Amino acid sequence: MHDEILTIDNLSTKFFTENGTVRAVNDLSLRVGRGDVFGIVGESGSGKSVTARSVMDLVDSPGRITDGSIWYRNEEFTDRVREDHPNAVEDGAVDLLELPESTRHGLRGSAFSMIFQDPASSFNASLTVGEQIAEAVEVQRRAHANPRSTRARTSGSNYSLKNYALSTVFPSKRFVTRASRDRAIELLEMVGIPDPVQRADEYPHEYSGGMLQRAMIAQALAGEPDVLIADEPTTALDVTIQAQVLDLLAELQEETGMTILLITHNLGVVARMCDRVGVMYAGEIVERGTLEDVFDDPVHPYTQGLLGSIPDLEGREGRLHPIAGNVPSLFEHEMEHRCHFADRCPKAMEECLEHPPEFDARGSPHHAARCYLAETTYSEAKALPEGYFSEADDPAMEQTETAATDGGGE
Amino acid sequence: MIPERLKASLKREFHQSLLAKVGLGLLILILFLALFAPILATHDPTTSRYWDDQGNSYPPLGITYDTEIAQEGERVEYTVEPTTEHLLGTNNVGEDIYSKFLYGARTSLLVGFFGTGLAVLMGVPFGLIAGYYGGRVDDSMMRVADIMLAFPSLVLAVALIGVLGAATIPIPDPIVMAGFAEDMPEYMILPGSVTIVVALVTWVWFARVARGEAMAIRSEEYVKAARSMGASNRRILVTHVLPNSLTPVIVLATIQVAAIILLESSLSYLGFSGTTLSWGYEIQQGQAYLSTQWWIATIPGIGIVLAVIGINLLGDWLRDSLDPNIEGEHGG
Amino acid sequence: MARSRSDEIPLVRVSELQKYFWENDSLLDRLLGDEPVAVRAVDGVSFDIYEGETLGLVGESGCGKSTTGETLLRLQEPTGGAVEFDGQNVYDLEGADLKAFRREAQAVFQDPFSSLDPRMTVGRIVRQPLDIHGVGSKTDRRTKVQDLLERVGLAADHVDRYPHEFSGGQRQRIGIARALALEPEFIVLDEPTSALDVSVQAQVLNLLDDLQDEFGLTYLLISHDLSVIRHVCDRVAVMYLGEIVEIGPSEDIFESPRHPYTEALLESVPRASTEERDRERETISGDVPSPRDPPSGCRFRTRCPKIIPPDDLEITQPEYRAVMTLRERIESRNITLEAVSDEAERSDGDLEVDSMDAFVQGLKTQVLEASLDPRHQEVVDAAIADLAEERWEEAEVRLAEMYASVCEQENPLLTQDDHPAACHLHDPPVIAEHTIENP
Repeated sequence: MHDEILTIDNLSTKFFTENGTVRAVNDLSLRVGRGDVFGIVGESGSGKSVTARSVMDLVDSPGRITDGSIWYRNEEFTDRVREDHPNAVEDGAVDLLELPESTRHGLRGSAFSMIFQDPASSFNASLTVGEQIAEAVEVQRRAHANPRSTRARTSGSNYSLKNYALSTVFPSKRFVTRASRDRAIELLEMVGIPDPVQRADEYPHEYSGGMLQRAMIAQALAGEPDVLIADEPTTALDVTIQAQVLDLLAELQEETGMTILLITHNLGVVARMCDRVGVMYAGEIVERGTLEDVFDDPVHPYTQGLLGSIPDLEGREGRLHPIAGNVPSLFEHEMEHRCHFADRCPKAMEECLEHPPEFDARGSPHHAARCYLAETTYSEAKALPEGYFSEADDPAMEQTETAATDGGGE
Repeated sequence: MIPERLKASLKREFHQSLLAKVGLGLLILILFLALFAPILATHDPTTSRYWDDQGNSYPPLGITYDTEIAQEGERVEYTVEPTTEHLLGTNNVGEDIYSKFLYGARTSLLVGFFGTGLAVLMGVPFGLIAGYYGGRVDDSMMRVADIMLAFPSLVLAVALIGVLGAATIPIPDPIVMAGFAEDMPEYMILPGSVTIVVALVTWVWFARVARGEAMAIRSEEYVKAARSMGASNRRILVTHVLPNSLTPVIVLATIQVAAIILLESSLSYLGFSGTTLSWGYEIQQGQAYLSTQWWIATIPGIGIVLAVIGINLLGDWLRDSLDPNIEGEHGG
Repeated sequence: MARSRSDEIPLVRVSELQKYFWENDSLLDRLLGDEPVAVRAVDGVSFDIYEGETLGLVGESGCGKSTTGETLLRLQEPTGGAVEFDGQNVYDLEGADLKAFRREAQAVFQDPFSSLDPRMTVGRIVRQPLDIHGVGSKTDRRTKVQDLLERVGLAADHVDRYPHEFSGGQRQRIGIARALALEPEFIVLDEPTSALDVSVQAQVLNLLDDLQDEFGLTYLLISHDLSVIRHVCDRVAVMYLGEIVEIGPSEDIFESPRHPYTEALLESVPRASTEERDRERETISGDVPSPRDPPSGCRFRTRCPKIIPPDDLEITQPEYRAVMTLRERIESRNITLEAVSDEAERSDGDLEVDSMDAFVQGLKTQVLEASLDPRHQEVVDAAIADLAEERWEEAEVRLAEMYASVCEQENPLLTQDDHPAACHLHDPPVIAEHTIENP
């Protein structure tokens, strides 16, 4: 069982806003095996992106990781860190949250890389695409030459104004070397950009959305990362382009054997790409398991509801079976200690007023769900009376929660 | 009328920002002085009174100064001493500086508010129409605006006054009329030409801001929705475009009040105001005596600085709390 | 669903609708003498919508589907063509007639945030159409608004709240209530659920379905989401680069698509099922060309996996695709020769013949996506040799003589049957005999 490249234990990330504390991610645990494609699926506000950003240490203020550990298993890295930070190492893995910030940031690019939903805003519009990828290569190349340097590598004197001015006059002062540039072209070719030599000299606005997403993948691959975190990588793309990009990701994964953490709201994308799936709701993983566990034999009524909500492309069935109500508030002072889905759940029972732990579920050993139904069967006798939650007068919830029924019975 | 969220945002920004409090304090102070000038004033600001028959003016409290006067070939030295009757002394023509200061605040604020109001009334509809209709209408209207912008505003203002003449509008002073203050001028003097001229040179800014807003709002889906329901352009302009474009206009208006006060001071300094009760004019009067009776020019100068700073700080506060990018975003 | 409706009179008849947008069209551009450039957002679109049905308009971003919807409602003035609503040309309407049309045809928009005026209360937003058309008394209107809000699943006492107090799904319900206020016959739904989460999307789709039954509404549903289209629509029109490439009953389009683009679209959608990973699918390469300068002939030919080679030419589809892509790049002068010739010179010194050879080989690896049969190899090599001397036209002509496809010469017309498709594969028999074999 030691081949889990990434293990997240009890991670909590909160945002301390003026209106109260937002529990974006709460007590979240997951294990990602080396070489797996792990999908995190959830609706907007479920905390899936914050989870990804927590791993990358990219949570912006006023957000902060408040609890938990993120174990990263890589022998080379463990050996390197063991000396300076012995208490961060345990059982051959390193708890990233115990490391100083600079060391963590050094992992960006080489251990973890991230691609985002909107490639257009991820590139600098005033530099050529090739230059930007070569820069990523250069950063990693220098890091390799001096692996003990734990300084955040994109900061520092290389980026001073003086150097910039010099670089425009003297080619030798350029930060990016010929070798890095060649590697950038290679990377562009690898992600299927036609005519990479020419394309490398073009600016981001000359690329189409799909091409730019490919270029961003190339940039992410510059450091040959162990884990690629893809946050809604195809959401902004058309279906035909989405298909191309997904194929590319699958190919690259097969070639390099890297691990992919795929964050998406699209169940079809998950089904296409992932071995394992975690379903998030209100900052928690409510169900996880293999793709078959979750799609063919879901235990949690939320997972069932999600699957029931998608119109089927293969045949026109009657009505859809949506989940009633809306996404819950994540303000700490408004969250009760109960199953957060209970107010929308068609099978809410008295137990559900107590926050459920994670139960093992039928199917593969990986299958688990935060729902009492994994242990017990639903019984009408214990069901909560209809309208239980709408009557439980929570003044703060009232504003957004009232009366969004599913527009007609089933 | 004001949305709850906006109120909360205004309050929050106010509590967080010391400068906003200073700004509001200054503005309230100056408004108070201007409003109750006839009661607060100690003398009619238009009558003269000298320290002696040599034409020496009173200095402010706590200050004495020596002055030399040539009399029949020999120099006579006086020491001029202050009197409690004239708190800030008198100026070169023997008018009470304190009272003139109060009345000067009136003129500045009158011109500031009326001028801005006029500029808003001219610029906003112009800009909204140009921005909302776009295309050729916009092209030709905004070229007019660009031409206006190409003139230096002070030169334009002077030229316009040259054409209009320095007309003034007397407004009966309600406090004097009601009998709360005696021996004070019965009319407030609104420098009419100046008001019109400052509006003429600043309306373009309102037109530009309103145009930008209208262009953004035009492509909003709620405008599309209104059109699909059959709403006329006029209706859309009034019910959707105007209310949604007001925020930046209000912020700009606040800052323009300050700019107009400055412009009014410049004009009255140059003698185009039509009234002597103006800070700019007072500075001009005191300018020649800067080396000896420096307070004549300095006191109205301080008035201008405080008013402008106060209003600008207030504008910053409004801008920060009305900023739609910060407004209404919730975490999670 | 596949009943023939040719004898019925359609509620909406769109014929040859065109909408061009003009770039470089400002006063300044005129003065500088820049020619305006037409962006052909909608380029000759025709379809009928019958009473009580839902027609789906599907396509990728930039295909002109939303512009079609807006032009159809006369929110934009058309460049050409006509839209008949209840037998009257919408673009000829004026005054009271136009106002009557505005009552009968409504729209629901995509963005639940921008489609509601943030400074109006929900009550005022929903009441707005009633105000504009002066329907009923003040109290009538208020009751009507409350009824509408309840009908779409909100509470009547929400009238005094502002839009920002509601979630995306609830806002979309408000937008629907507003569209229903005038009891229209026809509603254009422009991506009504694409900004919503799936669970909320299902709520809204069910609501729309109920409302259609209850009020006998006719819908035009514009969406990029094929599953939504399939779930909701009776008939579907597929758009690509401003044109309709296929239109027909939903069942037929999804079960037996006739246009290669429709096939590709359907293939590309990932299914939410565990069989998805093993599903073999053929994705199409490349991006949508610019509507400023659409390809000649069939607009899909630059990406089409079934492009038709000339009758007498023996060539496999991948080879043909590669040659066609090369031709396009030559025609658009989109090949940089410098990089290759630099390399060729460096490696071969001054040997004239060898360096030419190296150039051809170098360029070929760079620009050709597949290896070719010797016969085609020869032609392509000759063309590339032309390029070495910058004789672009000659290379162009050389390749065109040999490889010109019917797809680039003629824009295919929609076939005249129950399930029209605009593809040369479905042309009348003369050409249809030469259907190509797909290797």
